[in-house]
Amino acid sequence: MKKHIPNILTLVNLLCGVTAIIVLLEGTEHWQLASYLIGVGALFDLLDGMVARALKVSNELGKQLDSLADMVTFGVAPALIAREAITLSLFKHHESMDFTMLETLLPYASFLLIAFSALRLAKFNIDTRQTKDFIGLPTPANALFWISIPLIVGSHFVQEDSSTYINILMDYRVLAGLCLLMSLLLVSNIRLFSMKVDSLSIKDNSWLLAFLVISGVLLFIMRFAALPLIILLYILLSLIKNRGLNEVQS
Amino acid sequence: MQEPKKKRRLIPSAITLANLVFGCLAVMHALGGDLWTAGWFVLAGAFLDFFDGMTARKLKVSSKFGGELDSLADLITFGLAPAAICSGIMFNNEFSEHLPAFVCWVVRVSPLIIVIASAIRLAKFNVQDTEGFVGLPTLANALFWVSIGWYSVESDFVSFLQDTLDAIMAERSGSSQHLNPPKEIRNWFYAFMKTWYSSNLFIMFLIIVFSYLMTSDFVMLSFKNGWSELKKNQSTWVMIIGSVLSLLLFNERSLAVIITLYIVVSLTVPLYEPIDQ
Repeated sequence: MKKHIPNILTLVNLLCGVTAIIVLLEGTEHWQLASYLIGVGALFDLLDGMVARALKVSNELGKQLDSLADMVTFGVAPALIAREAITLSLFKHHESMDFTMLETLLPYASFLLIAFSALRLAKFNIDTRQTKDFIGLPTPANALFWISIPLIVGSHFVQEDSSTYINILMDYRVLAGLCLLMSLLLVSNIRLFSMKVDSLSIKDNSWLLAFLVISGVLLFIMRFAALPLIILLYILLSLIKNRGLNEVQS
Repeated sequence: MQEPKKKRRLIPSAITLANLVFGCLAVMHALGGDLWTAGWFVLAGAFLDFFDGMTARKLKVSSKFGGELDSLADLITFGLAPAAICSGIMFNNEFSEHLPAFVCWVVRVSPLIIVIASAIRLAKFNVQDTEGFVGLPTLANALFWVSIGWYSVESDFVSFLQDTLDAIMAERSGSSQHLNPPKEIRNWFYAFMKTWYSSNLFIMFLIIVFSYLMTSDFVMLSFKNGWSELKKNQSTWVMIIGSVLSLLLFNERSLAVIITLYIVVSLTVPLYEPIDQ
């Protein structure tokens, strides 16, 4: 029984993902709920790894199940948020609905995220190097970026009432560009520091600590609007920390 | 030397990613209520799934990466999409059973069991290294629900094709009032299926049976040995003849019959065939 506990947590993560997808396919009415569900899924994802290590029951089956659940929660669900956001933005920019051919296809740019998340997860599963650092943006980080959009924008996006920050973020060209950028980051060879703590000394964890402090301050000031900036900070800090290391990669 | 091989390695992965995209489209259509299109997207995904493994073996670029990617795509196309279709079937049936609200709620969320069972089946498949299928393949489960989804939504297009075909047949045989046994059987079968699948409780029962079969340790027929297996296995012959017959009778809706036949044949193999080691 003991060895099934982490797997049950993984399945809860999967259920969160599926429910988020169902909510998202009903439109943008309740899309904040989907964000919360993906967030809860991310918590369970953290928890199952921790429980498996604490109970010393990590096994191959658990890892496989974990990556399958991640595919749904951090691959498909965030991409559907991106799709809804692009659709919403398109309708706001063209009240008369005179879309060009390219613009009707634009929401499908989010499918890039699904494909590249799958590539990222498959690559991670066979990679033996990614024990200490991540290589390429982890899928939960990508998910955190996208779930911030419904939380920032809310269920009714009104262009005139929103700040410049939101208007830039909710531009369909920017969103489609972000889909492409995030997809490339997922499979890139950039080294990103992991959140795992193996020693308690401040010196070893100085980068992680700096990241957490800045993120905390940003979250306190900007609330959910800080999430995209935090992901950006994560990538930038990792680039600075591991400068020189990236070129060694093949 | 290295370059062409690297490029060749991309082909099977690209096919797998196309399967994944079809799976996503199937989920979107199924949850939007269009079970007909969703079913065809799953079928297209199944077709691509068959080809990616084959291309990888032909090009000699089979890799662990390809296997991992394949199972991720399979979870969407053969796990999530059938569950979405199943939920669509339940939505189409009105709740005639006079049940407490709580039971209705449990029945409505039961398609989630399919996703969980598929994930467990795929994870198990990736870690075991035995020959053949242990537990019902997710593909078989997916095809079954696709077919039931097609029953659930009467398609005008297909009944039009059916009527046209019947008219041509009747004209050829000379009289329009002539008794047409296949059509009689077909109509009886459609009516039979309709009574069963309009009950959500029965669908929930099927979900539990199929999910159990997926996660169980029953050895199912795999047809991997191809023609050499055909010569000595009667069970494979039963499968082929049964499938062809039901295809002729029920056209594209025969998938449910074929999958049921597959399960029955696979489960009864140990009864009359000694397992040779």
